[in-house]
Amino acid sequence: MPIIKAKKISKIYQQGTKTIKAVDEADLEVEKGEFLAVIGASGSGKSTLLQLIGGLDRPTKGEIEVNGVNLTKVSDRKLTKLRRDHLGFIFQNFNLIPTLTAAQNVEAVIAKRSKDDRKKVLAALKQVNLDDRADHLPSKLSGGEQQRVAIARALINEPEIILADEPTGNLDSKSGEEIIHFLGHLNKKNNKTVILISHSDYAKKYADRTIVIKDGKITAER
Amino acid sequence: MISLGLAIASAIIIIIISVSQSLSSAQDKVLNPLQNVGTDLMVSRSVDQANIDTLDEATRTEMMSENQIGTDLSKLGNPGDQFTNDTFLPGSMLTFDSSELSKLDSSLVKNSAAGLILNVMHQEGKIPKVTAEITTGGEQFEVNTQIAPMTDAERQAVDAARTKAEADLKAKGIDPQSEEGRQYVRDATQKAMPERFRSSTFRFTAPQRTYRQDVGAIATDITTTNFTVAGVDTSKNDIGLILPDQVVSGSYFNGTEQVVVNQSYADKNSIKVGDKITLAKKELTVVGIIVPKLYSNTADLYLPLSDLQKLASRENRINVMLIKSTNAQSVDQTSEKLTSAFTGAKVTSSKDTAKEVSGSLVNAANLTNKFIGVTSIIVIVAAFIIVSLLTILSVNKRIREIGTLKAIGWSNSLVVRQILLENLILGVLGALVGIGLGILAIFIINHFNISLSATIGNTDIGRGMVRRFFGGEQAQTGVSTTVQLKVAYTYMVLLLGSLVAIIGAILAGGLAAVKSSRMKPQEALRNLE
Repeated sequence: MPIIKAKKISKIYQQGTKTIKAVDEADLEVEKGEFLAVIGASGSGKSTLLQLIGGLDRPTKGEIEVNGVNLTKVSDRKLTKLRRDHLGFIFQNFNLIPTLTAAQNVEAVIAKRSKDDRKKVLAALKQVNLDDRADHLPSKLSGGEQQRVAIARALINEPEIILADEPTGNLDSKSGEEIIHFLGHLNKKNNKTVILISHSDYAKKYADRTIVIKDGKITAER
Repeated sequence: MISLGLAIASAIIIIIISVSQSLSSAQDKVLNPLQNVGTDLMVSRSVDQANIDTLDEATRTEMMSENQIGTDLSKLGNPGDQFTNDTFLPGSMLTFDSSELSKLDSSLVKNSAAGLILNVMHQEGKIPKVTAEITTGGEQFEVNTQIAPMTDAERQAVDAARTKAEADLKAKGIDPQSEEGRQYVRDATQKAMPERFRSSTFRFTAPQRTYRQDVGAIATDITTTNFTVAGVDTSKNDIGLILPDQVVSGSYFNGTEQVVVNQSYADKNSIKVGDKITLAKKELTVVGIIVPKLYSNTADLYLPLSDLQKLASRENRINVMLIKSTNAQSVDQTSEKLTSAFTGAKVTSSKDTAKEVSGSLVNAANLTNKFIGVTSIIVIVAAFIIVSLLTILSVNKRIREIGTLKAIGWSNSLVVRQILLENLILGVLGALVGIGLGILAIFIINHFNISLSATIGNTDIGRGMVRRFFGGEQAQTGVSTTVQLKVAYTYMVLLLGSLVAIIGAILAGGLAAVKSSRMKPQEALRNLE
């Protein structure tokens, strides 16, 4: 039973008179606990595919099912809830809120508030070895550290699926490897389903499967 | 940026409102000159110039007798002598007995003072030689009368009387031809003559003649000047035509034969403290120069009331009562009661004196009054637009941040709440900075000592009338006063200013929040660099 099931999904943009097929009738199934690497040239449509899977955007055509929920049929509110409870996002630009400390950034997304929030946050930061930097502002952290805060943030609501869009793109290779190593660790130890967009060869070491996107189509599978 | 925009808006509001409030308070000060002398109401029997032709007979008579001028030059000395003569006239401000003060109801009146304001017609020069000789007498009158001749009966009666008299004489043995006999006969015949022959008295009336001689203009150097002099109730220090604290140089009255001079009059006539002024042949010492604050009824010279009453031969007469009402709220009511208590009295309140004011202060105050509403609205709207743009700009800059929050599961309401909260904080910050800026700006405005002038039309106390008859220069047309613009701020204004900032921030935040709630979460993934 695949946790992610995409059937002939397309995303078509109208840009002036030009029609852009960002995703063109892609079929994709991802099993629970699978580590999927996605590669492709810039503008190939791989980010759009990830957005569609993550419920950030709706496909023009086709159907997507994530964790048993048909994304094309539910309301925005339900999508938000799905993202919050079942999906964890990691972005290329970390997207931390600059005015909040590392701990506050993580705490900000906690779905169900409780007295133990601080403890939970510190535990999540400990997972990424940043519990000693909890009260630093993002600007005081290195790129790698910021991305680890973002991972802690993605994990705080204990999602089944981690979606990472080039998380190593803005990092030096050593920090990048650390991040991918960590994602691999999450996949193997915690049985998280991971979809990782990355050009890094290092990613292939951890990936169960790699797909190649070209002009919105899945052209190869390894 | 947003905070700064809000701060400036709120500062502008604070400044505008404060300046306008200060202007109107400065205006109040000038417009309510009565207040400057501790007075709410002024009671007089002043007659409006405009109404002079329609006065009732009694008042007209009173006014004419009060303003009678009899300069009998011949009584002032011999022709060629130098003379000065001061005539005191109340003009249209009729006098009344000072005992009227006791009519004041103590439940209505907290404090009162009497005053006497008089025009002085000052004449000086050489007594002219006035000759007009008229000689009468020497006329001759000729009288012609016709007397009817005696009738026969009358003649017989006379003859009979003569015969009888001659017979009587014979009987007495007196010779009728003697002196005695002739007299006796003449008397008897005279007695027998008809009445019309006995007496001949005639009455006549000489024709009436009028001698008219044109003496021409009196060739002399007599000059006439007009000024006003006021008697001040020196028993009070907190109410009166002038108050001790209005003295700008020298001192207030502290003895007899003293005079305090209005600064404008002193300047015009180069009068200094210590100078002597002769008024009604009495030499007075100038003890002080004053800037009177009762703009509507200023005088050129001020004397203690009793001194003036003596000099002007108007013992116990006053023509103005200054009244402090017991209750500031009941001034109108007091005014009504006073009007009914003093028949024919004119009760002036600050409202009446306000109408006479003009000048830059009034212009400025009118300007702000007219534009304060519009300006405030423009500033508020402009501030709101600027702040909205800034907020939306910052939201646009934070697209990724907001997108991220949405991507990782923040609901729209949470995002909206967050943005509103942030803007509220910005608003409070802006308000605080705005208050600071506002106070700073007010401080700077005060530092520049902006002064505004106001001209107050003086109540013409009959000078016009005196001038019409006797000539002379115009004494004073009005009083110009200068008010320093002292901008003060109240907590209410500061609060209002900060409310503008905070509400502006919340409204702008609301707009930004709406915009961000429409934003799609995938913006977070877009690589904007």
